[in-house]
Amino acid sequence: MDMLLSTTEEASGIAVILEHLYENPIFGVSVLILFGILGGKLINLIKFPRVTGYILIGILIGPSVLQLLSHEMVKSFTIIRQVAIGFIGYTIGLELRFSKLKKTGKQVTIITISQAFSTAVMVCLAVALYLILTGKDHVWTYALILGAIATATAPGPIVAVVKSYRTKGPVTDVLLPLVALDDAIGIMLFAVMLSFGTSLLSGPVSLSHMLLDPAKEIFFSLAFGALIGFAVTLIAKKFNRESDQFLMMVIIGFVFAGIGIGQAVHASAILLPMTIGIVLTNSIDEKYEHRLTQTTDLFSAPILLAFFTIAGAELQLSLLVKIGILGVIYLLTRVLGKVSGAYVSAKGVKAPPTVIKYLGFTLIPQAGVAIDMALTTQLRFETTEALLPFIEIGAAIMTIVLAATVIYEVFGLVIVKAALGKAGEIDAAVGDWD
Amino acid sequence: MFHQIISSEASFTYEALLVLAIVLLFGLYAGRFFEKIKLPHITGYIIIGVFIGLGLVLIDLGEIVEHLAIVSSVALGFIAFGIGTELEFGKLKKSGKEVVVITIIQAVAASVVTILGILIIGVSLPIALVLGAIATATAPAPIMLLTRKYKARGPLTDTLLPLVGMDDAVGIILFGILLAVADSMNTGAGLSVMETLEGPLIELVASAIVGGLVGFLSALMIKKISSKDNQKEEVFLGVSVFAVFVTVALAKMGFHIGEMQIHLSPILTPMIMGVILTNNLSRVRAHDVNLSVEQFSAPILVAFFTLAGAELVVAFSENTNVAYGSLIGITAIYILFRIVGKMGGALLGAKIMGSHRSVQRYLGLCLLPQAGVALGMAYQAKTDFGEDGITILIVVLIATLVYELFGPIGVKFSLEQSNEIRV
Repeated sequence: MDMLLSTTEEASGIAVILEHLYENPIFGVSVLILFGILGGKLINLIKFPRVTGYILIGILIGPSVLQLLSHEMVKSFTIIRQVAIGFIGYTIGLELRFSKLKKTGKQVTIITISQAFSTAVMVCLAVALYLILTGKDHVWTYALILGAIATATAPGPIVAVVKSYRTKGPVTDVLLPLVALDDAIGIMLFAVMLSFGTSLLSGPVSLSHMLLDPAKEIFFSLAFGALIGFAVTLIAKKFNRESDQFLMMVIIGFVFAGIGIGQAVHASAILLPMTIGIVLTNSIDEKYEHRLTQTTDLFSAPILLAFFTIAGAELQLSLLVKIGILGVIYLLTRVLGKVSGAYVSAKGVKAPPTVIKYLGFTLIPQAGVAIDMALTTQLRFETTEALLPFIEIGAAIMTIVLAATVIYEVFGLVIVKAALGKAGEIDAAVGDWD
Repeated sequence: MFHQIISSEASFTYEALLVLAIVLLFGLYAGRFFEKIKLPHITGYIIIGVFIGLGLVLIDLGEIVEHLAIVSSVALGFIAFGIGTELEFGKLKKSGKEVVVITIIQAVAASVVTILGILIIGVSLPIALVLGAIATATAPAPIMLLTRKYKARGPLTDTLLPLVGMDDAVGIILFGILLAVADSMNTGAGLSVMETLEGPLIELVASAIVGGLVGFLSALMIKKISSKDNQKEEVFLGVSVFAVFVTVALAKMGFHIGEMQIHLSPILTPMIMGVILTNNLSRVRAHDVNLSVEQFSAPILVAFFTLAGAELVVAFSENTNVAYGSLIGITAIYILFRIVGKMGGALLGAKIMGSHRSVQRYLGLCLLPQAGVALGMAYQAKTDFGEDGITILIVVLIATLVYELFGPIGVKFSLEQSNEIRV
């Protein structure tokens, strides 16, 4: 109550509340949820995905436009982001049932790796070509790092669209395990290419940066995820006669534990909770899994809603004008790489025709994972002495990735929905369980 | 700017998340274990919370409990909201004047008797007022559980069930008023009676207006959702979470109109919001909304009760000069006088209304269990009062443990004595 305003006496009640928004995170969250719901409702009028509505309204109320949320406020929502990403990972994990993957497992692995490499190579070459033609320096540093970041996809929005449109069919079957695998491949690819790219400027990089660190990150994610996954499974099996609510709370507790441990040991925020989901789903039957998912899905719904609205608020529209020709090249070749990589490899493994045609388009969204990679890049430049003279490279990459994210976040999901619609998979899962 | 987003507070958040996970998981397990040995699970939450608190204090992480205060504020909002949604005007009319009058008389009596008892042993008026207000709260869960288990039927049961539904609402209103009065006495010593009462009155009205407004708007939003929408539960939940959060936050921050500072009650505001929300929806929809909200609030409540136990330990560890003697005295008086007030008040009310003999004799004895709402109120008092608030929290925590253990025995005994057990 001491937070009450003392200076602006003529300010209206509303203005005062807004001014002090960032001091009270609970209020901030309530604003995010309210506007998120409105955004989802409005976007429904033009039949766009709800998540796009959350993101757009987030942009609107964020620092870029109306400034109802300032940078500080957006910053204070870190914990929501972490919890949301954890639940997204866990949800993806639940979809990875090995018995189902037996048929498609090999296909998915080949497609995932091929589209990642084709995207990386295409972006890398296109960036290099442009920089050579314009006579710029440090060509391959830019090329390698941007190529690596280009592989990242946004699992959260993709899963949200799949869930809310209850899609089902060959494309969905490939897409979900693909985004899961993609994260692990992305971590490795990025670590190696970042190290190569910076070694061109600073001389040889230690092996630890290049291979050991990412290997450790993946290992910790899998190890701790599996450990927690086994604990959840044990309890879920032993207490299967308890109420749904009890089981939901157990799962939430363990997912929280996973997120916390993940941060403590620097594991992947997505991979670790995903492993929990994988272990759980493969130890119980489908009916029981469905029972467990329903309640946790409801619990995480408002958190995800707030998360996507924050994701929108974080986008910096002003960066769009700074994207530059290099940024446009990155933006377009990444799409080309994803679509063609998925097309060729799906054809190669004789995937169903809808997968060949549409899978690549569903991989266009890019968000938090890519921003995190750009951030790691920038930090590497800022904290390595030999790289300090080239610090502007890190900043330039950050700008390009952030600007591209604006485009990908706004249009990506609309494309995903259209692709899944063309493949005839929207609403195909309705009535499966009810 | 962007690395700040990631690095700021990151070191703290993961520890808090881990503690939250531990609190939730261990709390759940303890609650289940206690239920198995036929004790109320809330007792399990509190007791395991005490151990978690001990552990945290030992490894010097006691302050994390305070960082998790946000969980408790939100939990309090959900508790108050839940009680509000129980208050359907239609049901209220049906249960009749008799129940309403008895509810109010026993609540006021429990409050007044407890206040007097605590004043007698020389405790200051603000503390006495708050404890007196908390004394009104009754835990409906064990009462409902026992009447259902014994398939109880008869005049006592018929009065008891609608009464516990309303009791906490009356309690919260009383608490809202008395806490505001106590607050205003704490801050503005030497004010006249009228001046002391002005703040609380404004607070009451403002809470009603804001709570009512948010409740009305939320009901409007929920009504707009088609019942064919495949994500309707998520929207119900989203709107309700918004409504609870916004009332809790507004109450925490306060605002001002012109030069007048407005405080809102963090417990009345969400409750009134709940009342207005429920009464503006159809019964089916109100029921659906409640079901979805429970999916979200259940873990928050478990964490809240467990954290309350942990807070007990942390409070002791931080205040080395606790006057154990007076603490024990206040606790004993609070427990005893609340019993006297509840039983006397119920007898008086039932006599005035000419109720059945078994209602006159045994109703008060059925109203002793005390749990979540009382803890929520105590927690709020702690937030408002500082050091005196810690005393209140400790007293109520211990009393809750006692009442949860022995209260159900009184309920069972009364039902037996009035021959309403049908199993």
